[in-house]
Amino acid sequence: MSLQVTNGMLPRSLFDRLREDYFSSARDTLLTLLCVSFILAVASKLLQWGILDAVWQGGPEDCRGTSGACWAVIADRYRLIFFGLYPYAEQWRSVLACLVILVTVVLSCVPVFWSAVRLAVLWISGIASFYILMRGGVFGLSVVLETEWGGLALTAFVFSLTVLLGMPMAICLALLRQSKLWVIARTTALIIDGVRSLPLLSILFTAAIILPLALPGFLIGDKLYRVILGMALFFAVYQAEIIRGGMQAIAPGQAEAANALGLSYWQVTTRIILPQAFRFALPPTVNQVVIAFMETSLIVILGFFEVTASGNAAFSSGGWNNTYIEVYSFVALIYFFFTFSLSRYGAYLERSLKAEAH
Amino acid sequence: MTGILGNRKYRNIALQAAFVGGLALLSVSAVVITRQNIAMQGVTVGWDFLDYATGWDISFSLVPYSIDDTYARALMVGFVNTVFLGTISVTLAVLLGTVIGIARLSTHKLVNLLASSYVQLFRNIPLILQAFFWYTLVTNLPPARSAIALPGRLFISNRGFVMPALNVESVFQLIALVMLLAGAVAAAILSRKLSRLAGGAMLAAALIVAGCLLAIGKLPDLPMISLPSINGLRFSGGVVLVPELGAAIMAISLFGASYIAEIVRAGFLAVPRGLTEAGKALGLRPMDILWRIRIPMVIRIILPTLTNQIIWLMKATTIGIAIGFNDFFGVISTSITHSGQTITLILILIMGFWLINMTIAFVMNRINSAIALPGYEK
Repeated sequence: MSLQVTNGMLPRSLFDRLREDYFSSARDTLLTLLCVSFILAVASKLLQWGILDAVWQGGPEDCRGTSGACWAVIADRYRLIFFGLYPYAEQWRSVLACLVILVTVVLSCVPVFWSAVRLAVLWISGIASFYILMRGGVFGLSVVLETEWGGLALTAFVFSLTVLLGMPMAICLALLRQSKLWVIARTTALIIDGVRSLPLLSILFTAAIILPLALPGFLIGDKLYRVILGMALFFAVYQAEIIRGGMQAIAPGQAEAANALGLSYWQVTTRIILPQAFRFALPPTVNQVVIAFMETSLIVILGFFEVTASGNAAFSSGGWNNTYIEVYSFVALIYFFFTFSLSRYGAYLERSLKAEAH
Repeated sequence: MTGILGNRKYRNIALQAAFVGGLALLSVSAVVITRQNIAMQGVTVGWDFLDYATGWDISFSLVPYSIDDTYARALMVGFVNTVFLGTISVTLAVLLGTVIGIARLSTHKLVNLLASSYVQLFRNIPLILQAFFWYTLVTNLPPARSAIALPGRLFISNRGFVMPALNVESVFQLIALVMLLAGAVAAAILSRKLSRLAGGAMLAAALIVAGCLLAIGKLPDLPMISLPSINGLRFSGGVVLVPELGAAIMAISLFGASYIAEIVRAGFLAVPRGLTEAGKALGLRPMDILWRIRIPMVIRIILPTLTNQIIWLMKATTIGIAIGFNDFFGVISTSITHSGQTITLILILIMGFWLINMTIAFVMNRINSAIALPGYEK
């Protein structure tokens, strides 16, 4: 037989709970009424517009007279939004490629994979299989050049390559900035702060248009990869500061003890400093990855056909002109799905790390 | 040789020299190659083009500008536009973010729910998508003929947001505004350092000076206030907030508010509980505890984070280019297309943003050290 312990209080009935939480004073009652009426008003409008009055099937002419949402545009154009101009018959490859990146990101959230080697293997093989699936040319897949990639697949590619290239760059920058050789530390600090003070858009612009002027011909490469490099650099300078924050949270005695034991710089760095720094820096790192994912949308300005641009294209032709709210909501939902789940995961990590510390 | 490299001191010097030398080599070779490439295109690198007429127009400018004006003036127009857009958006974002951050802390569950829904919604959708959305929304509003009229002679239409304005030369308006702001800051300092009376006198003096300036700068033969009215297909009188600017302000301030709300919330949570408990023990009312203990502490706690956030929002104004607002970056990229002076213009872009960021950081750090509590370290 077990006794239920309820910290000295009797369990409250539903009525009591409602009264205490929402109607305990005149101010609370007023706030409750205001909030409830606001929520009801918004919810009923959304329900009416988005579901009850909505048109789900058909062409632009079916939406003309309706006051509700025209979801028919999504039914008609979802392939354009997800796949861009990727050849119609090959779009299953795009789906698989996106799933590969999704699985890669989900697996990197599992603690089993939290070692430098495992993460590197996971991400490199993930991106390599993405590239083979999308580009083709082997295993009997037809070749689809990068210029034809678009929609969510392009967003996923830019995002994953940015993180994969940016993370090692960030570690290097953080270590250089923390270096005991002050000339190196100061120069790196200058570079990091300089890049941080620039808008990402100007860096991407430089990478796309100016960099070809400053590179010898054999190094210029494709515009897409230069832009990804610019994104990775921007990600790296922010991530470097996050890692540095994590390094500073480690008690100085640890490195001193390791030095006293005769460990070399590399041993101290890779076995003592970095693992702990990453542990401390995990929640802001997840946050930075979320921001990097959202910032991939900036490449629409440079003329890439990623998911924001394909959203723009979805309603700007074929008589769908008035369906911009529906299309933007759909694209926003795609972003929201990924960013919200990742940022919830970050919040969960933060809580569990705090609980461990106590 | 091994003797020198084996010595830690010399090795360190050699390492540092190699690092700096490598970087220098990289940048020198980049500059040389760029010069060669640009020379091949038949463009001479230099600052001369700043004096040439641009030959293109800018749709929105606070300072007078025509297509005969020089590149230097066009760049200035863009810079002023960026500062203008940034100042308005950041101010709105801080105000809205503070309100929502406080609502996030409410013990009332519904208020809390609404505030956190706001934060999650606006934080998790890319800024540029939000800007596209607001811009398309504004351009799909009814035309001027059937504009939505609000009380106070405000009109909302696809031509933008129209409101009453002063019939005063813009230079005088700007000086009056600066005088007013300077007066307010001086009044705040005086009432802290000297007395409330001195502060009040300072504020009154600033008001009078600003009023005189407006009276001097008034355009002849026109009433002081220009009221807008619908005149056929367009508006006459008043001032028009163009759709591009309105959409950019909406997007940046709503997006920024969701980040600032989280900063404000974290700031309130970081106020030591002992301080508020001491206030309660002294018998202070909840309002006094909020205004005299918690808010002053929160301002001091969040200022460094807030500074970074404001700089970040200033940089975010560059998304204006996506919806056709002529901000600094937009003018720079148009100039590059028309003049081919890539290197010089990118250099100007970098200097412009450094100037903005340094100014914000400098002002915020001064405020930070001016209001720091003696003997209180975090």
